[in-house]
Amino acid sequence: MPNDPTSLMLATEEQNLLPESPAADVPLHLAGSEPTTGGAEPAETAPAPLPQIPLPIHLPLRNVSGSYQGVSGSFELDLRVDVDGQRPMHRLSGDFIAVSGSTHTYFGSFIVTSVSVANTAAGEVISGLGSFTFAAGAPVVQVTIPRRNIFQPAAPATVRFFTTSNAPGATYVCGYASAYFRMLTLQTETVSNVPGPVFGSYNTASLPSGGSARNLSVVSAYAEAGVQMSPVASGPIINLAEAGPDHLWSDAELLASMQAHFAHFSTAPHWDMWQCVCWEHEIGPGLYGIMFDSQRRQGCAVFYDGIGGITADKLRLQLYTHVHELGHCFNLMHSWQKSLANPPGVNNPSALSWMNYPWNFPGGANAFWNAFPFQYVDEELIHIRHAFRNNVIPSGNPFTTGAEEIDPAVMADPIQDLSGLDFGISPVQPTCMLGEPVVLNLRLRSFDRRGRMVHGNLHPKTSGVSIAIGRPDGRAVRFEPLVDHLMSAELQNLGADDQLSETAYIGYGKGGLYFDQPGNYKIRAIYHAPDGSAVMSNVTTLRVRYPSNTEDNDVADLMIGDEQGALLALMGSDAQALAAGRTALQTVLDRHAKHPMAGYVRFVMGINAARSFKTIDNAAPGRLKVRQPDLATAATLLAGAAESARLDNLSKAQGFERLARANQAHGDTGAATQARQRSVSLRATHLR
Amino acid sequence: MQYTLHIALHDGFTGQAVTVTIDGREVWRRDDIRTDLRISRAAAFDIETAQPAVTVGVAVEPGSLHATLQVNVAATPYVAVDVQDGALRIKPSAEPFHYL
Repeated sequence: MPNDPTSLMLATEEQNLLPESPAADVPLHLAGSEPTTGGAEPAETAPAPLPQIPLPIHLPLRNVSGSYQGVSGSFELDLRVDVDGQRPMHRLSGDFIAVSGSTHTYFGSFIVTSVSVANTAAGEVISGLGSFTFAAGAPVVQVTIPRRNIFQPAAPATVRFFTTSNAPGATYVCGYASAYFRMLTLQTETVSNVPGPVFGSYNTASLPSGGSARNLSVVSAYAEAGVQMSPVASGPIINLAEAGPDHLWSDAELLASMQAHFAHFSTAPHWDMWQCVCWEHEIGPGLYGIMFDSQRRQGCAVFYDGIGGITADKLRLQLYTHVHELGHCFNLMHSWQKSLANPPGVNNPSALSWMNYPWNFPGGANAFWNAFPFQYVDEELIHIRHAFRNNVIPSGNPFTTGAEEIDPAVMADPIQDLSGLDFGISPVQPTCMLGEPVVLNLRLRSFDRRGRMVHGNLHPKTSGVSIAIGRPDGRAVRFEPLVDHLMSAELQNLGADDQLSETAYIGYGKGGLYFDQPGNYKIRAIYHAPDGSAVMSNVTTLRVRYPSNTEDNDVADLMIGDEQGALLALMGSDAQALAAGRTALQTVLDRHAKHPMAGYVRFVMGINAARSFKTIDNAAPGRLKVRQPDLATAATLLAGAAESARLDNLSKAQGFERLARANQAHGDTGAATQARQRSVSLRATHLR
Repeated sequence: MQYTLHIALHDGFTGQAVTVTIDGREVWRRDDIRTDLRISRAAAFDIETAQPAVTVGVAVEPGSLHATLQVNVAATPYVAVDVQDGALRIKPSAEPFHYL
């Protein structure tokens, strides 16, 4: 996966949606500095120019705010410019999408919270220092947008990234996409026992309010916030039976109904929401609405037992409740609870916002409605328009979580995967003892009936697969094998019924010990397909538990250490530098022979005993000292390892294969056959 | 005559044990009370009483939070309890509570 979409890249001409502008030599000024002057306007593809006819009047200029899209190298950029138009929040923000083969994966986001805007000959130049979800090499953002009048098509935005010392980074030329900052679909469903009309619109002049008079629907309320919410066709009316025999909805029933009816339901982040119009929740008629899907924020429900009706105050309440619940889907919290978000915000119980409770407003509900302008407050608007993608997109971070748990660069779900491959991983032991070697099962399947050409290098020690580990402390690290193996990429056709499988020890690598803390880990692997696609595996979880008794504690102490990790990664070694690690592992066998972890030690010691080991020794003839295989010891150790309930069968099979080869090399055909039969048997068990 | 007192625990509960008394008699106790931040509600229950006015007592542990309030059940049968800035707040209301 590429590393930094802000740094200088070699972009090919055809990768840009629009032609690159000539190098505009615009001096960079951060917010607070003097406006810039000069610079060149990006060239545009256009037919032969028509003669310029001087216009007698100056036509109004288009706003530059809105969203733009462009490509540079292997990244796409979705840019948002918010400096003019309706309620400008004076922000730049954007999301990077990594493109690899036929896969598109979210990479990261940025926001510029303090921008300087200058009108130059090149157009509007907006710049500032960005905050990024990743370590950006060129964090200063400069956007240049030529001005156009309202009868001309919108101009592209040229986005240049600079280092803090003003060295140029990547450049993107982004075509204008929309006046909106976010675009999503809204599917609204109604339950069969809801009588009367479902909310359509409310004229805000019907009752006293604090804003201008206008007809507001849910869609137009969000349009004012800069969100294009496109209603999609709903299915048949939802049968009340889905609420169970009591006809009252629980959150679980709402979730099940959403999964059954939501056309865009997904566990991966997506710009779609589902809203269900129901009669009553099991909490009672006092519950007007709920965002019932707190893990993924895809769906909410409103309850017409409390808010239904056709009077102006009821229509106002319906509008408020619909917009409020969808606000929760955008990961907005109640106005007086912002401090409970992660990271915390600032409480504002007197906010005139969609996210308040009118009846909790200082002065009471009437005071609220009389002053309410039917809009979000600025902080909420900034969140909806510009928050880092996973903090706002449905199926991004859970409700209330604004901080990135996992580096999106390595844990993001693919936006699009046309690879035709299914890559799955699972830990051999979903719950490990502290110090236990972590071994991963990896399986590759094709779901293309014609089959797919693949390479078979599933082990992360090859360059065919990379692995990301989300640690309990929230950091994400990339697993780097201790030794890289350069493997030839021999291709094979993987049929629809075929599968490739592998197991890999990922407990120790160049980054040291990866699972040295108790807690929950997330793991994702990426298969780098021959066509360049980055095929994401599922995210699997692994729990490392605290030692439960003194013996577990002693064994954990003996197993944890760089030398022990290296010995496990290398499947044993005679290296003098690892002598202390060998002593620790031998102590596991001497003192804790019946402990479950002893099986791993027997395995690596057995593998090592089955092979010869060469060391440089100046005193030895030819300076090379060769320790010959100890096949009897190897057989004993591997037989003992085969009894382990913790070690996977594929690893055991590989151990016996090595023993078979060693016996064969030493002319003991009988022992070789015996070991090979054992291996075949274990492998067959693994595949079952 | 019987009166129904509707007690709702709202904001600020993060896993504490809550005990509610009416005129000194324990009527409700639960462990691990947590505010559901989606609707700002932690728990709710009803108490029947023959008295038109009662003293509602609430205790929260850990934190050693205590508060009592005289409530006119006939006039304000709805009582909200919040933990706010490290203190308990009991607020009677004539209207039922709504959540969204």
